Parts: sequence; C-alpha cells; structure tokens
Amino acid sequence: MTARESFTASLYAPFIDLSAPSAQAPIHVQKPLSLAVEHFERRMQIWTLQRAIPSTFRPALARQIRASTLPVTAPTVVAGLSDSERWQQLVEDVARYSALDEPRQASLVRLLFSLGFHATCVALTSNGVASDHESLEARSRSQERSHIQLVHANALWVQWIDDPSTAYSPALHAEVHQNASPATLLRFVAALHLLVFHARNTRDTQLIAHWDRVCLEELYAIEGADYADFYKNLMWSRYYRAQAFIPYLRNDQREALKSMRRAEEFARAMKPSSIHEQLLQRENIFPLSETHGKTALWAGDVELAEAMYTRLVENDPYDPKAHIEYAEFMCAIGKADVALRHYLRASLYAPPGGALGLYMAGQLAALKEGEHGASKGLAMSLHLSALSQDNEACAALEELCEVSAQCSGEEFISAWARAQLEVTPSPTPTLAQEAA
Amino acid sequence: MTPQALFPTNSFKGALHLEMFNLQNGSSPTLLATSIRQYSRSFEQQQTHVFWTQRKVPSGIRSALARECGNRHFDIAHPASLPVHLRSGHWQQLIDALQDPQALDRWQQALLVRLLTSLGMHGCAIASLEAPTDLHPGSSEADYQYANALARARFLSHKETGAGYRDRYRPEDYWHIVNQRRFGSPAACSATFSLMLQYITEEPDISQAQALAHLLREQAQSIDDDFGRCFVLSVFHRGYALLPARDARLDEMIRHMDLADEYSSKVLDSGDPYLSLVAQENRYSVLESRIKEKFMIEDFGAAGRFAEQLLQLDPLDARALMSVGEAFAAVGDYERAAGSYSRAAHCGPLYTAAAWFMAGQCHAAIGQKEHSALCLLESLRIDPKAISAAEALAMLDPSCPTSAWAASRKLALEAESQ
Repeated sequence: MTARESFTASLYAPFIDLSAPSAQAPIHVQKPLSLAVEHFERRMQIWTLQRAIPSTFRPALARQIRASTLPVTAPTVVAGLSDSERWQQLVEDVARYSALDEPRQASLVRLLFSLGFHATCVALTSNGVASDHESLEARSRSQERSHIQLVHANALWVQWIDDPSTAYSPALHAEVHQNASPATLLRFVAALHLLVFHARNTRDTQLIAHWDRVCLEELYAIEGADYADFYKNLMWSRYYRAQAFIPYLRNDQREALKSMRRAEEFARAMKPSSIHEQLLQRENIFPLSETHGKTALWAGDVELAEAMYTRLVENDPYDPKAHIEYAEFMCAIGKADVALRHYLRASLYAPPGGALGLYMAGQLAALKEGEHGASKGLAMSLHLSALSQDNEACAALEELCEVSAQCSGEEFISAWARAQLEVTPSPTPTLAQEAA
Repeated sequence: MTPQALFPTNSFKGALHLEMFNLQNGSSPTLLATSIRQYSRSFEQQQTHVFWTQRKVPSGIRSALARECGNRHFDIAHPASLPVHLRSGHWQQLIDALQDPQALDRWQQALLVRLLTSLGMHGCAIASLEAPTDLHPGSSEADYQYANALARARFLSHKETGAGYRDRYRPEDYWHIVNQRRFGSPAACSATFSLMLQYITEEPDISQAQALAHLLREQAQSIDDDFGRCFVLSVFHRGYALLPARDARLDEMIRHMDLADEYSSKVLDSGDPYLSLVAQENRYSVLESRIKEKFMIEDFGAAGRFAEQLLQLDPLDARALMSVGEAFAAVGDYERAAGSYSRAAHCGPLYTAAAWFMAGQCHAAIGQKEHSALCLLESLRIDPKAISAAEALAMLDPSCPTSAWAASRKLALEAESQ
C-alpha cells in the first residue's frame, strides 16, 4: 500500500516520507515539514517545543497503516514507503552527523525529534553534549550546541515518560539553562521545563519556587532582548500557564484561574506576522485551552470549561488528542452521546488514540440501553475493532469479556477474550500510556 | 502445543477460523469450522459418510483470511506449503495422505476430497486425485461418492476462474453418476441435485431441469430411512423453488420453500454428529433462501424472523450475518443492521470489505457520521480498490478531511479503471 492509498498515511505523510500532509492535517503534523524545510533549505526559524511526539506514536502509526516497513525507532530507509528524496537525504545526514556543522546538526536533531525518533536523537547527541571537564566558557561558546543539548535532554525526557528506567535527570535541562546564552528563549524554555517538571513530578515546593523565580528573571531578560513582541507574549503566556501549577498544588482555585487568565491575555496579545507564527500561535492555543478547561472544571465553572474545550477542538479539529480531551470533558459533565462521537472522531484521525477511542466508545455504548441488545453488540464490535488496532489492548479485552458475558450466545467471544487475557500482560501499556 | 501458541497472532478472526488454517481444533462454533473439523475427524477415523454438505467454500477464502489475520504463511493452495512449525497433527496427516492418495480406500479418498474442498483447496484436490475411469452400474457407493466429490471440486474450481465454467467443466461427470448409480442412492441424489441446479440457473430451456427435478423427487420418495428421505426432499424443494422464482410464479415458489422448510426441520434432531451437521447445514441454506424469498415478495417482517433463526443457528458466520444485516436494513432498522454488518466484518472473511461498507451506509442512515466514516475507511483498508466505499466516504461530510481524501482516492481509482 502506498502512502496515498490510506487516509491515515495521507494525514501523517511527513512522518512516513517527509511529504506534504493533507491540507487539514493537525498542527503537530505540519511541524516536521517546516523543520525539514529549515534543515534542507537552511532557513532558520525560531522554534520552541510545546508538544513532543510520544514514543508510542510511531509504532501506533505503523499499526494503523498496517505498514510493518515503516521506520519506527530509526529513520532507516525502507523500500516502498521511504523512497522520497528528502527521506534519503535525512538518512544520509544521520549517517554523516559528525561531519555536519553545528547549525546543521542542530536542525537535524530538531527534525528527528519532531518525527519521534527519540532514540536516534539520544544516540547522535550523546557525544555532542558537553562533558563535566569542559569549562563553562567553552560550553557556552556555541549557542547551537545548547540547542543540541536541549534536544538531547528532551529526547531522554520523552523516553523517561514511557520508561522511568531511562537515564533522564532534570540536571540535563538545568545544564542547558546554564550553558545557553543570557536573555535567550532557549534559556527560558529550559527553566520553564524544570518548573513544570518539578510541579508534576517531584512536587518539591522549594525547587518549584526556585524555577518559578528563574523563569521570571529569564522573561524580564528577554523583554530587553531583540525578540519580536510575538515571541515575548508567547513566552509570557507559556509561563503563566505553567505557573498555574503552583496555586493548583496549594488547592487555590481562584489563583489558578487568575494565572490562566493572565496566560490568555498574553496569548491574545500575540500578533503573528507569518504563516510560521500563525502555526506557533495555534500550537499555543492547544495546551492553553486544555489547561484552562481543566482548571475551570476543577473550580466548578462548567461554562468556562466547555468554552475552553470547544476552542480546543475548533483550533485543531483533526487532532485526535483534542477530541480525546473533549470527549473526556463531555463524559465528566454526563454527555455520553457527545463523548462517544468524539472518541470515534479521535479514532478516525488517530494516532494517537485509535484503540483508546474505540475502547472508550465501546465502554459508552455498553452503558446505553439499546433495543434488542443492539448497544451491547455495538460495544463488542468496538472492542474488537480496538483489538484489531492494538492486539495487546488488555482493557478492551477485559470489557469484551464483561459485555459478552452479559449476552446470551456469546460464549465463543467470551471464552476467546478470557483466553487472551491470560496470555496478555496487564495493564495494557498502550492504552494506559495514551490515556496518560 | 496450544492453538494460541501455534497461531502467531491473537486475532479474534484467526481464532474463529483456526480449523481453516491448520485443522487445529479451536472449538469454533461456526458451521463452516464444524464441517472442516468433522471431515478431518472422519478422515482420520476412516468413517463412511453418504450425505453431503452444501456450503461452497471459495478458494479465495484462504488468502483473504491470511491477509485479514496478518499472517501470509496461511495463504497457501496446497497443505504441504504450510511451514512445518505451523502444522497441527491433523494437518500433517493430510499432507501424508496426499503423498500417496492411491493407497487410501475409496471412502477415504472421497472424504479427502471433501476435506480439501471445505478448506478451499479445490485445485489441490483436482491435481492430486484422479477421477475414476472405470465406473459401472456395479461399482460401489464409495466409488460413486468419490466421483461425485471430485466432480464438485472441479465444478467449484472452474466456476471460480471466471472464464465461463461451461467451457471447461464437464457436466458428464455428474451425468455419468445420475445414469449409472442405483436409483435413490445418496451419490445419485447428490449428482441429480447438482445437475438440476445448474440447469435451472444456467439454461434458458427448462425442460431438462424439469426432467431432473422429476427424477430427484422420485429418488427422494424411494428412500427408506426418514433422515435420508426428508433431507433429500428438503434439498429438492429448496433447489426447485428457483424454477418458479425465475418466472415470478411466487405462490409456487413459496409452496416449495414451505416444504423445504418443513422437511429441513424434521431432520434436525438426529443424534449422530455427522447427520446433525448435514441437517444443520441444510437448515442454514433453507433459512438463507427463505430470507431471499421473503425479500422477493417484499415481506420484510418474515425475512427478519427467518434472519433471527439464521442468527441463532450460526451466530458467528459472516455470510449469515450479512443476510441478517440485509433483513434489518430492509425494514429500516439500521442500528441492528449496522451491528450485524460490523459483526460480519469481524467474523469474515470474503465479505469483510462489503460488510464494513454496508455498516458504514447503515450508520450514515441514522446520522452516525463518525462511525460511518470509520467503517468506510475499514472497507477501503481491506479493499483499497473499493470505489463505492470511497464514493460514500467522499459524500459523507464534506467538511471532514476523510471526504477530501476519499474524493481524490475515488478519482484515482476511476483513472486506474480506465
């Protein structure tokens, strides 16, 4: 099957052969393409990381398009799918990475990171990371080297999310912060990562307060630097969104909402002057809407939450993750029918969320009171579809067991699902990871 | 080794059709799998079976299953092509038998051909076993059963080639049995029925079909045992109902179908596993024909009731589920129709792409666009050339990217076909 014979392949074409995706592709799908232009045509642009491709993405894409030849862990050329000229160039550049100059190395690893090749990023950048013996001066000599260091730290961090045994330490981002030139976006982004990291993971109030202070210092430094207002406002918006974690941890709903309002104010002040900046603006709306919606729901403002979740799907209507978030919100407010539709939408535009969307839709269908048990039949069909997308979807197997046991004449399905549960490790890694 | 260990994926469809892959007993409840299992056991235990099963298993079923279950090892035309590590004991026995089929007695040869035909390996049966040339009125029932089984394999194989089966198929294979075999014997009845059906469905002149029908009815009425008589009469009336259906003599068609129905119900409780299978398989065919008959007279309520019976008989059979879906759709119960079609798609193969397409159409009819789009995409994944699915998807929701993609896919397919 060629890329154009499958809808999913056409939507996610950049991840397959760096060709242009369909016009309505989600924002994060357009990013590798822009980074490919940056790398191959040497058109440097300001990039900041807002959304990382999870490690589960490429295996899920391979499953979805039924292409066992899709490169999953490294961009190895595979006949049939990766015969594009750009992909060949990518592979060649990976092979001669050490011979490239630092700006090219930086743009290459950024591109690889955006394509989800985290292991390749780590392998390439490990030698380029400054050693402890180097002087601070030498480390800060090259801004590009700091960019490479950031990709190295981010790639390990993404791997660590899926596998906590990965050798990631927040010290890696601290080092990026330390080595980056003063009054740069890079320096702020590294600090912001650490603020969020500690708020989410260590919940160490001293460290959170420290990195909050550092972020503010970096932002004030950026204010005096030669950056367009667009980027300054973007960074402030990102800061206030992250900063909302602090009142959240104190259970202070009012302050958390206040932080989100500030984040919104700065987001509104962003005036894009290019297509590239429009993309960055829309990319910022995703996490902003998501966090603002969650905060509003937590604070009991359902109307505001609904407005935020609606903006989330309207901003990027073909992003499966947006539909998963929207469906979860609809479940939370008891609108199961709407939730079911959006879980199916997520599955339609997956990955991520293909098996998850079908499984959740199956759960909701099973709860419905259909005539002649039609809803139970639909639920079983949805769970079987989830399993055909991910045959280790343990949660779907469990539900299939339960629903089939409630129906007469479904002994074969029930017995098969039970037998599969005995040989399938639980809990389902993919569904659990996607749900997370 | 467990079936799961033998089978390399944990696909539901793979488990459901395990018999088809390697004769491993996966306890699948479908009549198709039961039939394969029964022939396999009978072959091993050197049993004698005089009656016949009617389900036609096309050879394309193997490649479709292999593709849909994700393992191409099973896409084979000869049992010996299956890799050694995937062979079950029964499968190896089948390979051994095929190495020297002349060493088998006639009953075993007949069962071997039936087993291969039920596995969709008609070509292998024809290539490996020779048709008997010395049949005479004094030949045994086993000789005629063997000749009949081979004639059926040839018929199925040649019909599948699409080049016009009459050019290569030899009706005289059946005529020989009809003319020489003892009147009323199972082999003679089976051959007469096969010929009658061919003349009804293929020949414009009905005189030969009528003569064969008369012969078959007389043969059926001469059978002493109740099972044999009722079974053959049921088969006869179901087949013969096609003749009045050809001329739209609906009352006559219904009368024959009522009789086929009545006789098929009488033989269901035989107690013998093989005869039960034969009876259930016949009941399956009768119910399927009754649904079609009720569609023809536009009695959709009755079609639905027969569909319910068919579903109870074989709840995981894709073909039955397609018929059931059609019956529900005809009365506007699109929710249940979509459920049946989706289930047919999960239980496939052969109808998988069509089942997803129909499920998509039914979901669209009740405004479930997302579900419809998912089903239509599945149809296109199974059959990338499914232009109807591309067309339906293109029209489903113009604002959706699936529509834009489907529209361009449809154009590409149209260009390819020109």
